[in-house]
Amino acid sequence: MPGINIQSPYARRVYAQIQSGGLLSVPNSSGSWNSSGANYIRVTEDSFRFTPNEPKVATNILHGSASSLARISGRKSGSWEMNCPIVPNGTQAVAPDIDPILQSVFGGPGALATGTAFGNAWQYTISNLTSVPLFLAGFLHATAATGNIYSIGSIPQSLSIDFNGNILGMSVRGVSVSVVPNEAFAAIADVEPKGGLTSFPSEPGSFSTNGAVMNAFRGTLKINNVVFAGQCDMFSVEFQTGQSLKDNYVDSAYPMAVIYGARSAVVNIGFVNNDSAALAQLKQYARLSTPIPIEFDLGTVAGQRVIVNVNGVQLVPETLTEQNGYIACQFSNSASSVTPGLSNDFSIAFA
Amino acid sequence: MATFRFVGSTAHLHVQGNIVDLTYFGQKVELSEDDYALFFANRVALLPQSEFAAFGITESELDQFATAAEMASAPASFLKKVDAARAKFSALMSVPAAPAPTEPVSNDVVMPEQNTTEVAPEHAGN
Repeated sequence: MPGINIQSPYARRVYAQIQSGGLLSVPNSSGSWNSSGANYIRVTEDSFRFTPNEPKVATNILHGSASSLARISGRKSGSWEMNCPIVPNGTQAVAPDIDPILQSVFGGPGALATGTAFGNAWQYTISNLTSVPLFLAGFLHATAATGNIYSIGSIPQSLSIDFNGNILGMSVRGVSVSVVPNEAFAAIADVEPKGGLTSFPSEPGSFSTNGAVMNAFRGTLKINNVVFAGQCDMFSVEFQTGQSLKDNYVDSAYPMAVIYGARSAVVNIGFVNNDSAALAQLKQYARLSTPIPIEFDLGTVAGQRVIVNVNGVQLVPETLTEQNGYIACQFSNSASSVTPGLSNDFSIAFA
Repeated sequence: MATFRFVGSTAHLHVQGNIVDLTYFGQKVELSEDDYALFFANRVALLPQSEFAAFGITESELDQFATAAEMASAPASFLKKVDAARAKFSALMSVPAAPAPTEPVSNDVVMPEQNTTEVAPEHAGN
């Protein structure tokens, strides 16, 4: 078929920008996207999914035939997900390139923490009942006319980090007000998906990346302040932000506000079962429902160090399964907790 | 155009189609003020030449100890200057950035002239 260009996903560049004007407002100048503050995000292949949720609704009108009449558009929203490496800046206590996404996950900006056990660190802690909506855009490089897409009013709902893999990365997914491809922009009459834009955004001419991709292994796992050396072969964290979007308004087809449900961080920890007193103690904590802190410290070089803390974890009693040559001991789906009034169940620091 | 010095560990710049790999401490890069503002906002560890010079780092020291591998055998006096330069950048980054404006602004996508970025020749090929 002459004249048809098949698009390659490898041409894609993804940007994340904080919508400082609110859920329904894209930073713009007289209708043109203002890319100031938009960060290029290293997204891994086969993980970029922006999905419009715009069902067609049957009218169900009786008309003398069992065949359906033309449907109309129902309420609209979007969803998004992506995997991206967690890459420290390379300079100690400076936010990473994924800063906009982490701000959105934690509901607020990171802050400089001084005098930690790791020296100065840029730390993301939970901002309670606040939100940071994102404008996410994927451009097919040098292809202005087609294949570009954005997600407005994007709110993360879960962040998963699988430690012990070859590459330290995170999987993040969430919901949005709307997902708009460039081919459809002109055909959209509603104001909400455009967020003040009068033209589809152009790919920024310049961008940067900081730091080097790192392994997710060779870290130090500390549970209840005890280092577990040579025992753990699985550790993952899934943080459920509790954030969502409120829809079903009488005056809009789209979500119009962020709402806050319960959040928690859930960990899965696996050990090679053994007779250490420390592991036996964990099994007792699990039966006693004792809340314990978990810390994973990855990297040893300043500027290339990531520290994750999950507080108040109540281990679910272990399962013991036979593997090839050893018995695996796994504490699965164990959730964090806090003392009344606090919001310190989960944090990530870059030192 | 002005001269800036890289004080981080590694970074990768795309400047209006030109690619610059920043791979060693003190690496020089020539940027327009607009591009510097963009990269500063994106936390690229660049200091203006005048601020970098204040740390007293000599070209001789950079010739010997600029890469991560070379720093492993660098004298404490040099590493102290490196730490000071990085602390300066970190301090600049710890100041919350102003929120992106929504109306009105005039710096949507800056399109400077071509070939605006040059890599300092002394470390080309590192």
